[in-house]
Amino acid sequence: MTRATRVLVVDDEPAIHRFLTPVLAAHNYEVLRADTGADALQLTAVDPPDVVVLDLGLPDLDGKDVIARVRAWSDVPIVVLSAREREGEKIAALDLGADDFVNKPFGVGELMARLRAALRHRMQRSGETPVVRINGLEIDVTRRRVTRDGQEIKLTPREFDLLSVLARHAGKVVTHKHILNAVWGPAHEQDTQYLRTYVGQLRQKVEMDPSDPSVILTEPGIGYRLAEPSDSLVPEPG
Amino acid sequence: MAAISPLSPRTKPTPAVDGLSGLGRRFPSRLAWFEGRALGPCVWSTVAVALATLTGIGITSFAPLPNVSMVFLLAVVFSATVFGIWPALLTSVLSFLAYNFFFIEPHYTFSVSQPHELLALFIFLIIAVLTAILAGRARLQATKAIERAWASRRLYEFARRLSSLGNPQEVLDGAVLQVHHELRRASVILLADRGSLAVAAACPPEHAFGSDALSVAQQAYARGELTGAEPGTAAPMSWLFLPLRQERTVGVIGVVRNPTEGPLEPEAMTLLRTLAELTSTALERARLGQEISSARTAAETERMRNILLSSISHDFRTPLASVLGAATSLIDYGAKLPETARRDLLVQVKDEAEHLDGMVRNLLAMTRVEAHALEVNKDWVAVRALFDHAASVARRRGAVQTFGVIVENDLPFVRADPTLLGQALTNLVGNATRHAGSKAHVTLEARRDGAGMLLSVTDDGPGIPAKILPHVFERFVHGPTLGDGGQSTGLGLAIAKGIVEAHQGTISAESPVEGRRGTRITVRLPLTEEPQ
Repeated sequence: MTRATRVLVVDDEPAIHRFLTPVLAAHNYEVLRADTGADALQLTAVDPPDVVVLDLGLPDLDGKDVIARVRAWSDVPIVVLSAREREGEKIAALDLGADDFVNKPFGVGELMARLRAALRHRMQRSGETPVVRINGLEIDVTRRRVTRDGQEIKLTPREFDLLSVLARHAGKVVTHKHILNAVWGPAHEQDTQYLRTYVGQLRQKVEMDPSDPSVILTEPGIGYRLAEPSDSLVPEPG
Repeated sequence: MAAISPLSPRTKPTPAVDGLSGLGRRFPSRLAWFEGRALGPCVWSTVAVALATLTGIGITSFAPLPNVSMVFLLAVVFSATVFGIWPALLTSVLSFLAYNFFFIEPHYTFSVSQPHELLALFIFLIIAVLTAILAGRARLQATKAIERAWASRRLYEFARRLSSLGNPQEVLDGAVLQVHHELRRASVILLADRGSLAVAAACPPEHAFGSDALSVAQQAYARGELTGAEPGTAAPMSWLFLPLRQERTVGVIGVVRNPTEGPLEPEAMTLLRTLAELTSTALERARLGQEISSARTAAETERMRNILLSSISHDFRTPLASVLGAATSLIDYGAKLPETARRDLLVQVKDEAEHLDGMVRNLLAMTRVEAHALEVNKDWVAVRALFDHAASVARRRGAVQTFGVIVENDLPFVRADPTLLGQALTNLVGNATRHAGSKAHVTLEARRDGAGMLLSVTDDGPGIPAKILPHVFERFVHGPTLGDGGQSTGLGLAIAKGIVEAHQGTISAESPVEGRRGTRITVRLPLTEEPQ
């Protein structure tokens, strides 16, 4: 067994540390704590964690500045905590290189899932092209094949491109801008209506119940997220 | 010469005697000259004729002057210029008689021997009368010009005074007073309120205003024009009304009119119209001013509401996040957690719920302070008990600072609402622990000071920035927080101030206290005699 996964929690509210620390410890994470942006920067530089949970509202530094500075030397996964209604802030954080976000207030299960997705994605980066399985749905990105319970689902090339962008980041949020850029090219970064149309078509084909999506999830105002794969390549630590 | 009483509207207008004392003399009765105050000019005119006679006799004794009558014309011109037409005419007649008596043969009789002398005598009379009229009229015009200058100056001052008034009622009161002053008549302003007129201002205020007058006013308001000016109305005392009009007719201004007099003189009418116009302009301005200020108040209220909402949503989010976080930890991962961790999460849920309850209570207290609806149930309270309570509440809320309580020996009880004063002190202590840092020492001190008692909460933290210090007791003012989280609505000190003031006390903040550090909030409460 390798050493425990180290998670750095950056938040100025002691109450958040109070409930996160025991839960993270129970999942065999080693918890590092920082109350300010300056502490967070110092810790990531001196004693790099495996993943960072960062509250965007810090007393000394803007959380976005912390992301930008960390990204200057490190690609450690960063999951940000932010108020639900502040979409602009979350999009800016994602654009600066944050991996994912959790709306405050949050259930701990949701944060755990985001941490797993962020860690898994980082480990895949150098490895195999993934095959993503979600409740009987199998997306093979390399062979451009999508099957449900062995039955192939016919997708147009655009639909497949869209699905594979989400599959490559399975479990993580992907912003509208990122998807549009990857599928339609940089000239269409603002054309979210394409996206809505194609996501609608795609849901008709891959969802069990298109009116209640469980595969392609909407993050209002921000982007889309493919549900967490049922057979995570990275099991929970411990 | 003639002192004018400005107050009684029924005083006879003063005759045109003393130069420039009031507009009242612009409308003299034609008969005024015969009254007592005209006596002076008559005497002076007679003296002038006597002087002219003596001069004439003096001159003719030295040299035989053929036209001594010229000397008498001098007297006429003098009289006309100084006193006006009527004294000048008197002078003319007196001169005519004196000339005849002293200078026309036979001397010292009123008889005339030569026919051509008689002719000369009458020509003299005609010239004298014409001179009297011309010179008198010139004088009248000069006087009127001066009066007009004064009148416009007074109107200007009136307009300026009105425009400086921000309150419509002050404008109305000023206007009726001015009309009363200028026209020497009782005046009244009626304003329309949903179609029916009601007296808004009157001068003199007790002047009778009957229902017949009200109906005339209604007419003026409905027609939007001058009403009541026709002569011969039946009532012995009736009114004359002018509409007050800006964009629409807002009311009427009225003056008392004596029906036997007929309509107002044209100049008085013009003056009344001008005053009415000035009044309606000023009224409109004052109303707009009031609307603007009430709009500003509404905007300020709106702003406070927005601050309150954003403050609530921000400050409630953290305790809610910890409640939700701790609860979901227990639900999802409770089985994996050791017993101590499970217990701590449960305690956290309870603590944060209490914290939320405290914030809600503070918000409610704030709204009561705002509405001046604090219910103060006074009792005899021991300060030490309040201090101990405040410190224990702070510890329960997670304060790790050290506390010191210093209470003067034999300190009397204080007359206060124990719950409210306790909340005020809890807020002060909470404020200290929130801003002073986890290593701070907080001192609660109470002592007598003359007829009052001083309660202070002092910390040795970094102090309040000078920029914020004057505003610490305002709502939603946050200082920089240190250590154990910045959970505050920015209301604590504002509420403490409201509570202290409801006890007729004062509250003040000083920072730094010692060296360059520390904050002290001092409450001064009045001491009441304890019952034996």
